[in-house]
Amino acid sequence: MFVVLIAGTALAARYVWVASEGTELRSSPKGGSQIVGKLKLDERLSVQDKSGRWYKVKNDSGRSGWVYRGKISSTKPERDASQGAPGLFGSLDSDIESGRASTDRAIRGLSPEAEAYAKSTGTPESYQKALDSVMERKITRDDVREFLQHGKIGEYAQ
Amino acid sequence: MNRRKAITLLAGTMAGLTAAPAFAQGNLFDALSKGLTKEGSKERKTLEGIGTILRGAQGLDYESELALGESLALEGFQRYGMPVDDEHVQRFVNLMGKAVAANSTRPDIPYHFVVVQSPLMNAFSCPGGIVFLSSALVKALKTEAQLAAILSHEVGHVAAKHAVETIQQAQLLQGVTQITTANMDNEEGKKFKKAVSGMKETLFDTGLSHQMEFEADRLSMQTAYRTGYSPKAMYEVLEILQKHQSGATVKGSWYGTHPPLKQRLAKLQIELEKYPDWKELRTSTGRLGWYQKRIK
Repeated sequence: MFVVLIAGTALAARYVWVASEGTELRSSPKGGSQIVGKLKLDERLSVQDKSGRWYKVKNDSGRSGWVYRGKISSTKPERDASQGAPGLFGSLDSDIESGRASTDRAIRGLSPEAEAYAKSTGTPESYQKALDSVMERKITRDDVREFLQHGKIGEYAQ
Repeated sequence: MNRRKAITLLAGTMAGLTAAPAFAQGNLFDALSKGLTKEGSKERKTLEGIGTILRGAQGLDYESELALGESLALEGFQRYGMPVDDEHVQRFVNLMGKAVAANSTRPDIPYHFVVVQSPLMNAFSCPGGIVFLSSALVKALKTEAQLAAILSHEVGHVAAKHAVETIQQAQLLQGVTQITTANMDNEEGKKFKKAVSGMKETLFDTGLSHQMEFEADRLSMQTAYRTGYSPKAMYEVLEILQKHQSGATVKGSWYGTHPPLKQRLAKLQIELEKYPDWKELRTSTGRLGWYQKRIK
């Protein structure tokens, strides 16, 4: 379980870990600043400096930049990866590994088990169509970034 | 291979694998047993048994979890209603849902969110990441942060695999780590249907355990805060529910499936102390009202 990073604790902790999907390193402590790198989930970072809700960090490969506090944890996340999951944005993610896209829901349709379940229980087709429309809605990483920017939320707060 | 060698191998493998996921460890023990032991031997049975236990500890794989979730979602439409017919509303909820899910304790699966036309104050999540919200609940909210709080609460249930854990505790899927049937009439298919039925009863009527709900409330505050929304919003949602409680339908709603609001509010008040700067985080953006008006 994560421990939320409360202001002031990270420098003492020295190391922090990437706790959010799609965490980006920026050139300065502002949401609108240049992206200088992308960080992997659970990656270890050493803390160099702090400014407001931003931490200057360096990863083990020597890349450094600023990261928003909500994206990191002061303890190493303990979790099992979701075996076979295509990631938060599925095949719509430009960072996706090509092999993982094969399990994307938008490509493969309803699971055979759910289809068999619907048939076996006499579920009306309208419910299957409703579920299809829910599962096929396309939201990209850029869409979410724009949503947060527009609402001035989190790293985009001023 | 004699028994002693097998045990030595086992000890060495365990030492080298403590950081690997339990599922991978389970598969490796199966491979080891096939490569290094004779069929039917005690050693092979021992290693295969360990593999099964390790996979069991990990639980269902994602594809199987999603298959259960999709089947439960079909039941969800039947019970609560069809999606609100407005792409703007559905997209808004999905954008916010993905935004909070990225900062949840399980950010590596695709989540899907749907607002259904229903007069009940309700929200629930299906295994694999399909989250339902009722139109009545969305319309009752005052701020964007409150919607983020509900979405974070439901993502918390998915992340902690509460529904799957509940049916495993009820022994409806005991020992099952992967579902690979497209035939609902065979033994595995019958188990699958029983599991969906068990989840339906739990999520639609009896509710998850109080402990699970308290955990989802705590995760909601944490996830919303990490995203940049006020963590107090979860507390405010419960206050709104309290106001609407008089005369509200209990069966099949959050009133019937969740712990008493007083208990949850008391716990959240204590939890909020972990976020001393909560007042500085976003509550409203001016967007929610426009979407609420689009819901009939």
